[in-house]
Amino acid sequence: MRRHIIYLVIAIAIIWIVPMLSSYANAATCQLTNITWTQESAKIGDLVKYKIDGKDCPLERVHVVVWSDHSGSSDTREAEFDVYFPREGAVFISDWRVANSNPFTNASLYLVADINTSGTGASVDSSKTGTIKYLKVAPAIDQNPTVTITNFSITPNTIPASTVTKLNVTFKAKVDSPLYFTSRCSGVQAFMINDSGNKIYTQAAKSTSPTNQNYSFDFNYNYTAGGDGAVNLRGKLECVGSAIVSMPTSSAVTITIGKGGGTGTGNTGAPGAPGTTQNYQFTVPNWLKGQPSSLTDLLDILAKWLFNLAIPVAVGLIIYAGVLLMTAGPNPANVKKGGNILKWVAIGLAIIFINKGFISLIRSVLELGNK
Amino acid sequence: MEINSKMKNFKRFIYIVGVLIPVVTLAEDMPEYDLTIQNIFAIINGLVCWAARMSYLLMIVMLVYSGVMFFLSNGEPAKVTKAREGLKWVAIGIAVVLATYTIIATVANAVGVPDVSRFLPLHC
Repeated sequence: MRRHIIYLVIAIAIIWIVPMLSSYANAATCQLTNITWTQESAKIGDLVKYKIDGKDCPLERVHVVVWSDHSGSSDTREAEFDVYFPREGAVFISDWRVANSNPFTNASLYLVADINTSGTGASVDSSKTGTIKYLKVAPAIDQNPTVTITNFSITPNTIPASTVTKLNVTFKAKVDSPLYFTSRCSGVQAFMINDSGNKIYTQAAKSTSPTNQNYSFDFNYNYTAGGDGAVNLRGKLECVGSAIVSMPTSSAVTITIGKGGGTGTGNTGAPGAPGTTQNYQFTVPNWLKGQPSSLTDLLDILAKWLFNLAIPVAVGLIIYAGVLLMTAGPNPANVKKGGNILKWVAIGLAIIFINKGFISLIRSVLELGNK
Repeated sequence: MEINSKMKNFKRFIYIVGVLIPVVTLAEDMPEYDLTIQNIFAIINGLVCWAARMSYLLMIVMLVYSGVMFFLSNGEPAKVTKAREGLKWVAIGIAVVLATYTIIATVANAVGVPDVSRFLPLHC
């Protein structure tokens, strides 16, 4: 009995002392491994987050400098501050408010961090290793982007009457501050309108990006001409998302139909050529997210589904099996039931974990003849 | 007999109405809310978390129960054996419940899933 107590004391002593010793032995120097922004863009006045990864860095002080990248000329130091790692964990997420000052407008900011004290850890640079290297700063909220139509032209501008003619429409637009434009409009849609303002053509919406200034909506339109005369066509843009940004309409392009609307004398023209067979092309959009294009892609989606469901269900079943085993004392039949559940959960999990493996397994079996 | 079945139907109706009234009134107060498949995963997750918590309670109850069985055995060999058998299975059951994630991780490891920490443990 006494021997047991001594063993117990020794075991407890070991359990206490070993972690203490190892924590002394582990007092390694802090090594920063990475720094990154957690978002790609921000407006002035926003609170933005960044993340520093480090090894053996609890309570360590880190000096962080925000640099503004002027591609070409030398970069400028915009802000600097000290932050501390938390007691636990190697990851540090902190936030910094983009100050309300001019130099930040449309700037690309990156972060550099190093250990202040001994300088043993090399500095880390978000522009080199970060997953999000730069933070783009958009102008403050009261600045409105201006959208201008740089080109709206149609060829040909004289078409025969009473036939269908294919018009090549060139339609280009420019945005002065794309970053802010993105925050207002998720997409831009282009239309062509006729004399009475009806939309006779709708172009699929183009999504906006914080870097893209120029948008091109070129398209072909089969115009069904009536009798002689003229028609005025205009290009029109609309903002997808909210209607705060005012979008322009181009000036009119006049298309002359047949002999035009003017009065005059002249010979009757030769009869038009008979209509030719025309080909229309259309696409059915793939409305499944992730754009699966083959059966294996579809199987991937199914596998992900099964997987997401299987993990919590497996946890629940194992707990149920445990409960059955626990209550096996008063009810011995539960032993077999609980054991069986455990067995089949393990088998089911194995199958779900392998999921895509089966496809490659079968494929490898079928392809064995080639090797 | 007929009256009985009518009563049953009436009771059923009352139950359905009783369940629906709070749902309808809640729906009026609630902001627009899109139920997605992610929510359903979250609901299953929550149920499993609840089951886990309940099983932790049951562990203590069953331990106490097997202790009481030892008390009540009064030293009679047959009853002591029964109580001991019960305690053994309680211990095994506790081990299974506490080793839930270990079991899953072991299976995952055996078939070569690279990163188990991506989906384990569940966030309770």
